[in-house]
Amino acid sequence: MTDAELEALLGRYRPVGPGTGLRRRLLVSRVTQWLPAAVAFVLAALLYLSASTQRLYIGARLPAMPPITLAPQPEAMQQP
Amino acid sequence: MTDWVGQAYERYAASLYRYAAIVLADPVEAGDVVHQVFAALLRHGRCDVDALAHYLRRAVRNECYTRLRRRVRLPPCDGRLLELVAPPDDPAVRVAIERALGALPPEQREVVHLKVFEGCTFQEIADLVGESINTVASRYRYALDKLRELL
Repeated sequence: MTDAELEALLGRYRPVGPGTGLRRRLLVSRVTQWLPAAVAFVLAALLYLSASTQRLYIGARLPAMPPITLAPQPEAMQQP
Repeated sequence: MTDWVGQAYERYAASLYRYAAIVLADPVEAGDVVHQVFAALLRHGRCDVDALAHYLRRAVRNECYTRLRRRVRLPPCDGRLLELVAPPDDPAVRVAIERALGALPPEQREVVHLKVFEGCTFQEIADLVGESINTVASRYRYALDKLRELL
């Protein structure tokens, strides 16, 4: 078999291409790349909402405080 | 994937995968290599798609040879390595070519792939692999001799 014949024989074929799975894997890796940041953001938002709700709840249950008036200090009154 | 990574994938992934499949003689591992290179590209950030060809080829080549160095033995090529582009198809011939290619050293398989399947010149191959044109031509000569012997 000459070089040309061998090259012609090889040239009838080509290496197989990638399947669709490779593209899907890349897409999934793109999503998972941002997953930790997204999870951290959602947790922080949930924590903030929970704290806000608790603040509102506690604020609503506490009785209204009377207004605080500052009485004059005795030492201040004794000075000439 | 419709942004720049999608464009880069559409343009280069198939060619890179074929190249890696021949160098590694393993289509499954070739998928891992291409995935790893594109995942690294994603982490790297936005790039000019037109300027990526050389970078991606180099990255795939480096990863292939890193994996080859780690290999204890050549895995049996279970997956199909070649597909027909010009009839007539003879499965026995295809399997024989796949086995013969698998028996070549990776450097010779690489040169055969770039010369026969991608139509590169020896100069282009030499530039890519970082060897002299004589070395590349010798590898091609040895590869053809061995293929002729095996087929």
